[in-house]
This record gives sequence, C-alpha cells and structure tokens, in this order.
Amino acid sequence: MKKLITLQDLIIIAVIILAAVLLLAFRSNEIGKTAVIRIDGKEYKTVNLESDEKTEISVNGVSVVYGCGEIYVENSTCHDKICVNAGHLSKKGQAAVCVPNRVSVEIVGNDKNAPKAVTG
Amino acid sequence: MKSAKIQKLTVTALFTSLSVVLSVLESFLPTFAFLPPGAKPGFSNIIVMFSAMSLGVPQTLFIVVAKAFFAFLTRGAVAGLMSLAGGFLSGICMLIVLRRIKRIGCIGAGVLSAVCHNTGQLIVSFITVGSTAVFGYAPVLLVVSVVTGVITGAILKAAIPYFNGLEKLFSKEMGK
Repeated sequence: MKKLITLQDLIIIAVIILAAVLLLAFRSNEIGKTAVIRIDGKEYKTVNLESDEKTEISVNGVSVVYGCGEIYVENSTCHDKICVNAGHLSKKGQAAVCVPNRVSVEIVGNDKNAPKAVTG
Repeated sequence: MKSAKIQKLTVTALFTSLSVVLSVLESFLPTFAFLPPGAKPGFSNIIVMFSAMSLGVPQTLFIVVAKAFFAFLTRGAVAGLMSLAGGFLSGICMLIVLRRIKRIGCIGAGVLSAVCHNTGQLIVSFITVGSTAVFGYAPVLLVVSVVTGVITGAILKAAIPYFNGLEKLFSKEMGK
C-alpha cells in the first residue's frame, strides 16, 4: 500500500517550490514602454504605453486597453478570463494570454528606436 | 475468465464517468481565494491516479481520452486538446510513479501529476498562442500544482480503501 507521504515527496515539493521561486526572482523589474500584441504568435500591433490617454482596441474578441504606462485586457469573449485576470501590466516580460482567442499581449521593453535600456 | 473481463470493463466505465462528473462539478466551484483564476483543484486526477495504480495501462489511457473528449464537446477544441495533452502527460507519469517507483507516496504522486498536467497544458497553449509569453504563468502554476497536488494526493490516500471496496463489490457480483 502506498504511503501518504515520504521523504522523496518532500524533496519533490521542495525542488518545485525552489524552481518557482527562482523563476520569480529572475523576473525583470524594469519598466517596459512598448508592448506587442500577437495573434497566433504573429505580431498584430506594437503599441507605445507612454501616452497620457488610454486607447482601447479590439483584437480577435479580446479588448485591450493601453496607455498611462500600462496595458491590460479589459474584456474577452473567452470562457475562463485568465487574460483579464492577469491584471494591469507595466513591467518588461509581463504578459497576458488568451488561449481560446489565441491572442497574447507581452511587454517587450523600451521603444524600438530608443537605445538599449540602461539598467541600474 | 469472461466475467473477469466484464468486471474490469464495468469498473473502467464507472471510473471514467466518475472522472468526468468530478471535472464537471469542479467547474461549478467558485475560484478559491488562495488559487489564481484558471487554476483548478484537478479532482479527476484522483481517479486517473487510482486507475494507474490498480486498473492498468489501457484503462488509464481510456479515462484520459474520454475526459478530453468530454472537454472537447463542452468547451471546444482548444480545451479538449489541453485536457488531452495534460492528461496524457500526467497519466503516463502516474503509471510510472505509482507502479514502478515505490519510494514516492500519494502526496508526491499528486504533486507530480498536477505539475505534469499543467506542463502539458502550457505546451498546448504555447503551440496555439505561438508566443513564449505563456511561460510567464509557469511559476504561479508550479506553486498552485504543489497546493492542489497535496490535496488530491491526500484524498487519494483516503479514498483508496473505498475504491478497492467498489472493485471487490463488482467482482463478488460477477462471481455469482
């Protein structure tokens, strides 16, 4: 009969938690100024988040709002709303994904024309 | 000989319907306060784990496919594909862990099952969305997998005697 919990189980749990913490720790804290909206992995639009007014666009059933330094999915026709619940994004590498509508929004970093980011 | 086969078929059918019913009931649950949206407890994994442990390889894979087909019918092609990928990965992992690796207990199995399930789903969403952005969810999913895996593993341990009782009940009825 299987035991409820063994030493190996604890090791497995520890390794998984460690992996998650490491992944979180290496996340960038850098503010991102541009975001890419993709459909099926292909770039649909690259937007600048720096404007003072918020703009709303509809992409494949997903309504995306950007401006004031952030971007977020306001509403979506999908069932699970994971993309909406991803919240407001402002940091490089953050993303909201709607799998049913095959749309993804990802903050890629600074303006394409601007020089590479100076960190620190 | 024949009755043993029929018994196994009946038990497989019973567990298949149990797993489908559990996944339907689970979708009615409000999102738990401690879980991010989209994360499910994965109670039907308990059935897959028990099946891997005591029914057999084809039976376990059948349950996985039936569950994915149900997701396909009720929630669409993407959901069906995600369920299939997650189910296959965690089902195969459970067949190995629960049958071959004695050192891993129920909770470890539950956690591994949840992690494999999420990995399969992430791979499918990566293919459908076509962006590595989906992997941003990985850390959250890993932590959630540990929580739900511990819960399902503990339930599995508690439910094993009852599941075994079900199997025995059928073998008695069939033996007559």
